[in-house]
Amino acid sequence: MSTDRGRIRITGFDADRVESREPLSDWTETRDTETEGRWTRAWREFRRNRSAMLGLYIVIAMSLLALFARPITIAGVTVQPISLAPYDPGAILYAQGLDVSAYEAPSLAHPFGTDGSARDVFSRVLYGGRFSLSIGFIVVLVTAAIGLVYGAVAGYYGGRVDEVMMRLLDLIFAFPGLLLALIIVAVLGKGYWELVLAFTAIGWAGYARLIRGEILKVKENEYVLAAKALGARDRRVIFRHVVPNAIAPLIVQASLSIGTVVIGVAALGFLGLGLPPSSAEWGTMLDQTRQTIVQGPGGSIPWWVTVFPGGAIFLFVMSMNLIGDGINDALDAQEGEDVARGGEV
Amino acid sequence: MAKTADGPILEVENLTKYYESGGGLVDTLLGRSQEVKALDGVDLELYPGETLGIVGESGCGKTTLARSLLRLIEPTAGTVRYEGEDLTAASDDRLRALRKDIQYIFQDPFASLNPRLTVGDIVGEPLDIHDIAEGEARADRVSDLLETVGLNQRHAHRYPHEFSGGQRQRIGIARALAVDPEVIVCDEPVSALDVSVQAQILNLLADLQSEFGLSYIVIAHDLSVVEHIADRVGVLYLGEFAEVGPTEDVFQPPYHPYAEALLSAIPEPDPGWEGDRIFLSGDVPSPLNPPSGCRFHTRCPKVIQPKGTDMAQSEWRSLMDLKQRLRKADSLEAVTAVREGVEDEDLRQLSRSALEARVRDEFGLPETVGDREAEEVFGTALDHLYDGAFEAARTALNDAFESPCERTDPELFDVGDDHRIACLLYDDAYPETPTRRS
Repeated sequence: MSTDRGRIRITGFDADRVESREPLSDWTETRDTETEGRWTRAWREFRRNRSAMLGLYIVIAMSLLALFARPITIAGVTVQPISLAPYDPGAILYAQGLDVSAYEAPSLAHPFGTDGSARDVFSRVLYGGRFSLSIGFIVVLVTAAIGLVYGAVAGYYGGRVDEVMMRLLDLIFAFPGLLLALIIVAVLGKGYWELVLAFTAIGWAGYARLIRGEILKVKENEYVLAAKALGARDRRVIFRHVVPNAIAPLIVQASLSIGTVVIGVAALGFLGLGLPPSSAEWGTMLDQTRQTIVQGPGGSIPWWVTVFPGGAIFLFVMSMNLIGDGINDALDAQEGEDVARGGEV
Repeated sequence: MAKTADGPILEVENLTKYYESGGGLVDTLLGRSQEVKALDGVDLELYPGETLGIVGESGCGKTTLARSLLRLIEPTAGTVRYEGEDLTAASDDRLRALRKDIQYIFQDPFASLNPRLTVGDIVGEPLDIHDIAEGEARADRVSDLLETVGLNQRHAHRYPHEFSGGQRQRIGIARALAVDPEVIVCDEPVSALDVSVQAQILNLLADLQSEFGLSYIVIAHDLSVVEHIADRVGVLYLGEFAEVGPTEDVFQPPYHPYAEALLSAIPEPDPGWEGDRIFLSGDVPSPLNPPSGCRFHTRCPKVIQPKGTDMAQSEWRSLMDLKQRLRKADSLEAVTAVREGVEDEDLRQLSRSALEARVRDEFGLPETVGDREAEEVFGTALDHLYDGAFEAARTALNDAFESPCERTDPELFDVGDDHRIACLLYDDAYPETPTRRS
């Protein structure tokens, strides 16, 4: 017995022996497969989701139909000559000498019938996609970008900067969203870009708050400190290390809110504050024919003038939601893989 | 690698970090906010090519020290000089440039690598930040670095989650090496790793040191890690150095009592070993309100007895414990031994002698304390306790049992070549303390 330490020495840890021992796994260089990136994995996950893929196909189809509905001319040059819509969506057909009356039921010549001004509903629905879809995508793109930068700056710097920026945000949240949009349109007047502006003004706040919360969480990670220790500037730390790790919920939110914006545009249109009354935007079309929902001329209800534009809104919004859910699942499943760390259960 | 003739490459003076505790706006206005003294006036020097180990238990300020050195945490006071240049006064741009010379390795290899970047991008990031290499040269440098730390260059296109803990730590090391630094601060570089992998990483660090002439500051709570890798060791306790010296000297007597206790806790594989573990009484005191005088006096087994007192050291320690416990206590439960299986016992119903027995039991005091005066004071204090007069008991004990350690904050006393200990036992003003003789 002794109180001296170190009487037992452990040997056999020399590197040569360790290198020449049996391999612990059957991994070899040749079995090495290329690593999948984050988005590749998410896309594979997304593709397995049937309802999301259905939504994606529908949205693509609707976008293509809207794109090819009428020829597109830029500065006098026709860049897209195809015209799927049989008639000009704005044309009043009997004025063109055709044998068509108002509220004609669907037929082979007019698959969706005609509306109160004897315009071809099928052409209008196809063409109307251009307004609804493009407003939806543009607004979401712009709002998400603004919200991302705003929320990232507030969340990353924190403290007083955060305090001031978030109070400004509360100002926007203080108004009911659609009401604020309505006021803006009422002040600025009707029009495509006025609508975009109105929905952008109310839309970005939600993204900013969402991304700020995520960033508060992500910036505590050690790799953020590691980047600072390397001498990275704030801009680099935010957009290379913090944002990519915080952006998943934003993408989900954005894909889901394209539908919301389309509904909002349609709602303003229905309230008569959307695009000019004669335009083929889906909500405006519903507004123009809303009295027919109750009773049409001669007691019959011309259901086609409301069902087809309404159905188009429904179909698009539902598809967008399916896609949003699919993205959510795809990114979530991947988070699961990433977050699981060795040693933690 | 002993201390060379050159001056220190890194010189830290009076480095201090206080954290504001609690306190929103209202607390600050009312003056209620408190300061956590995480780091309280630390001095150290790091010489070129050496490894300085810093040990201490959790919460003693190790990580705060490491991060304040690089200004990843802004220190409250003090200076950090790198080759004579004061980091704490450097502008942001200058500091960014200096990060090429001083690098940091993190404790947790799972949290310190961005999961969204490939290994190549992680290791190449410092090259981008400091415009060191681009394109082909960057790719070459990245594969060089990966090979240097024992990884395959094919790994450059993989993501961190595909690697084991040891491999990830190697990636972290490669990232730190990318800028060709002079000093690397390693914050618990192996504590998150398997024991079998720890040795590999420590050996890698040692190899890199001799290859690139690096200087390390290695933070650890594991003394065997420090013994293995460090040339000099600093023992940190509650934000202050308790002992600093060359590794062999710190691991041999004379010891700071705290270092001695830490060393006694190293596991020993020898079944024939019968050395004693020194158990420290109590918990680490809160850095919100660190103890007066020597910060270790509340737990020190060798706490100095006042002049004229002469009793067994263990009895003295027990009396000190009783005194400290009583400071915060306002019920008898806090100072009496718990009887097993008895609940909701009303201690005030106990007789005077039963109470005394229970108190002695709790603090391991014998029937009579070795010192007659001390025994009398203890008796008086118990009388007060029996009467429920806690304040009187406190005063009685405070007046009689006051160690010089409570009053005097010891500086670092030289006890050998470059070996310094912050303990009054090594102050010449207390030559006749009993522990000194042993």
